[in-house]
Amino acid sequence: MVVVSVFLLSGCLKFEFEEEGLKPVYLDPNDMSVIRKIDPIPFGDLGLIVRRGNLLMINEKLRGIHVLNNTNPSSPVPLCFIEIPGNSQFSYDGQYIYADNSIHLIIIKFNPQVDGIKVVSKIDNVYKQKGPSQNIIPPNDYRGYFECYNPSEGVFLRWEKAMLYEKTCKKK
Amino acid sequence: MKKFIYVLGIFLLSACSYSGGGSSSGGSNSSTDTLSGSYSKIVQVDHLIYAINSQFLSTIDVTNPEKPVELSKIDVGFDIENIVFNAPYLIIGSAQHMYIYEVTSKGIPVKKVEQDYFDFSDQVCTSDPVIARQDRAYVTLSSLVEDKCNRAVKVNELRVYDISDFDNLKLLSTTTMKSPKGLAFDRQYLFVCDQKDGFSVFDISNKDKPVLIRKYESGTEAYDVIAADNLLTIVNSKKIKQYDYSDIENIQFLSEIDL
Repeated sequence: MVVVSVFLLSGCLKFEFEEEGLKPVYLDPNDMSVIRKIDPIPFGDLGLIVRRGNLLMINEKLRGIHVLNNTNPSSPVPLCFIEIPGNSQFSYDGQYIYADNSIHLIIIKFNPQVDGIKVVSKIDNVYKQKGPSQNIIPPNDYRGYFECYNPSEGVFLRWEKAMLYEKTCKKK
Repeated sequence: MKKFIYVLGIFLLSACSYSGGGSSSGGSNSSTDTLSGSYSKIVQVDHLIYAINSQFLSTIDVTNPEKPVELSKIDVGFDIENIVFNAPYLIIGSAQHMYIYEVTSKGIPVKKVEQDYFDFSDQVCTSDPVIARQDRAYVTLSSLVEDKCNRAVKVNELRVYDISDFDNLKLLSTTTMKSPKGLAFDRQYLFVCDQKDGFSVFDISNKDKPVLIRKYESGTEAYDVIAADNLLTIVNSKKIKQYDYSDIENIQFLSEIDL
């Protein structure tokens, strides 16, 4: 009898609030193992464009860099995607990519003819801003509950759908 | 002799930091250069990387990319949009200012100019880049789209500044556009993206006053541009489009990439 009521009670408490909403996905800016070269991926939300020789490179916001062979500009060929979570800015000097991962500047050895890439160094906090971080909330069209963004958990990357069990933040 | 070595040293140093800086939309237009869209916040000048976030400008020596050295970090301002190199100056665009930094012989930037775009800067909130060549800077300002500030004054224009006299930057001309964004030049041509209205090609043979040659892709979204070697690369948030502009009166569509 006691066991049953404890079960009911906890069940009751546990599901006092349960709703699908959004929660922030965080990035650990010091984890270099997430930076890698993969097969081409679809365009999503494009950012900065760079041309160097026959290469066309374009940032995929907060995800990395699409690389295309532009030898024939009438028909560019996707070569690969370089995953750099948090990335929005970069340059390429023919040997090295200089790219941000939201906080640090990362230097990556990249040759489109060679398999793989190599992170050779990082310069800490080049992209870190002073003062309070901006108020990060879900996109304009979103209405409902979301898990509040907490800067101490890392760098904000994106929102993803999740079951929420606490009424934390809400957008009306 | 000592003096000669000193002079030679200065020469070498300055050659080092000023030469071959064609690594942005404001630079030279060779196929072996790195050509960046005008929204770039990173520029490489020889062995130095200038990286700017919305506020700080870092100078990083990458002579040895495995052991980069951050030489300086300067607090520039806020809402920084882009940085370009116009030897020997770094030109920085922000929502309300244009900044000009001189690159010293050691490569470290020193502030020369902070130019307000508006007399009542708190009235307007734009967000757009600047490019520069020699003594002229071309700036787009737009508040039609993404007006985060929701203020009364709307500004959507292309501006040309004379930047030869740092004590007195002169606004030479303004051209009203719908919502101008990224821009690039090659030879006497200036290409300006319009977020709501394709892209415009201007003749800047008279560098003070752009003359519209033709508008393309009206009604489509264009955000940033690279122009070099007669190849125009235009991007928006969803796709890349390329054109051949060897005949400037009649630019030819080459490809649309939408992976």
